[in-house]
Amino acid sequence: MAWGSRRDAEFTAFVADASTTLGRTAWLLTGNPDAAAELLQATLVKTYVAWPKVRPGSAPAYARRIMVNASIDGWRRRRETPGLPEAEPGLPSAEAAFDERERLGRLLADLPLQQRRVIVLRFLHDLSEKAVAEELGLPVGTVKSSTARGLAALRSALVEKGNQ
Amino acid sequence: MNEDFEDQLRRAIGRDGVEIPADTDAAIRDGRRIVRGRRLGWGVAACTVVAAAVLILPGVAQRGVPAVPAQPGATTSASPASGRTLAGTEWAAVQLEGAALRPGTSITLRFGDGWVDGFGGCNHYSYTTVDGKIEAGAYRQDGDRLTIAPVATTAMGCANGVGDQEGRYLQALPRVQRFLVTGGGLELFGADGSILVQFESATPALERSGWTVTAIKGRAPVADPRQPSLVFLKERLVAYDGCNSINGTVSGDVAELKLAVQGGTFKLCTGEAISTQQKDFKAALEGATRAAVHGDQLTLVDAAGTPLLQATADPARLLAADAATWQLDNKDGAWGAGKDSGITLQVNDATVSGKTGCGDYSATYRNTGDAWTIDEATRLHPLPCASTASSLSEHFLGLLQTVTTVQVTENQVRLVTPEVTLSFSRK
Repeated sequence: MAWGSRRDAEFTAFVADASTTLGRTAWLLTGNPDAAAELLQATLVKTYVAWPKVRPGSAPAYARRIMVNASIDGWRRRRETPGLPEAEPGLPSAEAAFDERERLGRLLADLPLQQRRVIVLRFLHDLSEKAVAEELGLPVGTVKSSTARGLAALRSALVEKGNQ
Repeated sequence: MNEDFEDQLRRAIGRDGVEIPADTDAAIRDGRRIVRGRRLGWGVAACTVVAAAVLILPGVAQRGVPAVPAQPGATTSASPASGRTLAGTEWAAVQLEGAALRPGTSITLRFGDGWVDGFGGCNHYSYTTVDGKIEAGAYRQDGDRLTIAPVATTAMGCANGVGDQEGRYLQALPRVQRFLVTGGGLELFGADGSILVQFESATPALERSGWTVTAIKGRAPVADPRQPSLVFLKERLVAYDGCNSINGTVSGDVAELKLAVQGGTFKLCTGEAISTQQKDFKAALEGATRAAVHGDQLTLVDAAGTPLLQATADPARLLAADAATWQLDNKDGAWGAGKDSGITLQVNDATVSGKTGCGDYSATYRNTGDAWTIDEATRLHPLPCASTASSLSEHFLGLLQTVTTVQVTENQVRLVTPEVTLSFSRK
């Protein structure tokens, strides 16, 4: 039997289950499909390497943690300012302009990275403030303030767009 | 209003529509290379990761294992001779066709049970199987004769001449006729007796490794009170058979291993399961002639190639057997405390303990490999101390509970937390 075949089988099943959510997380964190694909792939490689220490059932959370940290270590270094999310392929531009997710995605990309991470974990992954704090290694108070600032910035930007 | 907005946001960012493709095969391929690279002391893989992993056969593909051609009458300055089995060995190239490797590049070769794989400097190469039979990447050893079938390789573009070097190496492998193991090196000879590739040993050392046993003669061991374990120290074996501790000696290396049981504790454990396990465990140690280390998995194998015992890497067992005291040194500069903090660490089979600078502490832990969970510490013999030291002590004990990973090298233990990494050196 080829070495690591059991690990490979488990890992393949994990990717099949988790890649959609991880891909969406990567897109929201990076705001760019190419960078998101790169971030997702780097996350999967790191998760594969760490597979023996990933506790059963915790692989999605483990990979997510790797991803949010990788987005700081790698993405931020390469590009000081994240690009805006690109228009979703196949959507007519007029429709995309009014698409709620697209519009919010663009606004999300303008947030400081920490606020973006907190918003993604709170509202995409439905984590509690305490869970986000544990995931990011931040005090709960920082998570609360980052959430509040992020929401306020998003709301304010939406109002501005609505008035335009 | 806030709830409306938050709900709107939740719906918007969770909506389907953004498809970011995941390439599982590429992740596995690159992950494997990094795992091997770490074991060989490489850093992160040097080549750019590409999205697609494509298996190709270099040059003209040949199926099956080529027959050993008749040895030509060419003269050779070397007289290759070696009865040593290559299965389970790993090597890093130092010379290719008489010339040193390009600076900053590495080529590796690993022999498994009938197959080879490794890293060509840019691409990972491996073997393929058809109907359970190894085809590409098969090798056959007969005394000092060796043949290697063309290997399968990934197809990443390689820059700066690395691809040329890799191509010459991959084309050299099927030209190998004989081999010689000398000291810590391996030389592969072509038909004319010239050395095609010269390697130094990169076989993972067993010395200073700890393992939790997962199977003995194919059976899962009794895990109460804890699973059997093996620790290889310098020429010394410390083991636990599920009831008693065992001391012994280690000689040779993974390819030619000899373990001898010398003594141990004599606790009486009743029950057929545990007494059978004790007997099988001792027989596995004494019958092992080779160890195969693949990633974090160890298999002890007898002379006939039968797996006797399987285990998974467990640094906790190594730390417990080592019984050293470690002191915080903060060499990583990750935390505002260093040697003068007086913080120390000791690890035994169930607890971590030490001094905080304001007294002693002890905490139970659980681990699977290098993933650890440390419970809240108990403060023992608290001492009156300055508020700064007291605050540092409490901060340290708080960090202990957040440790996720423990990394062990010969002279360093690193406790990794989401916040910082606590680095300890041998006291």
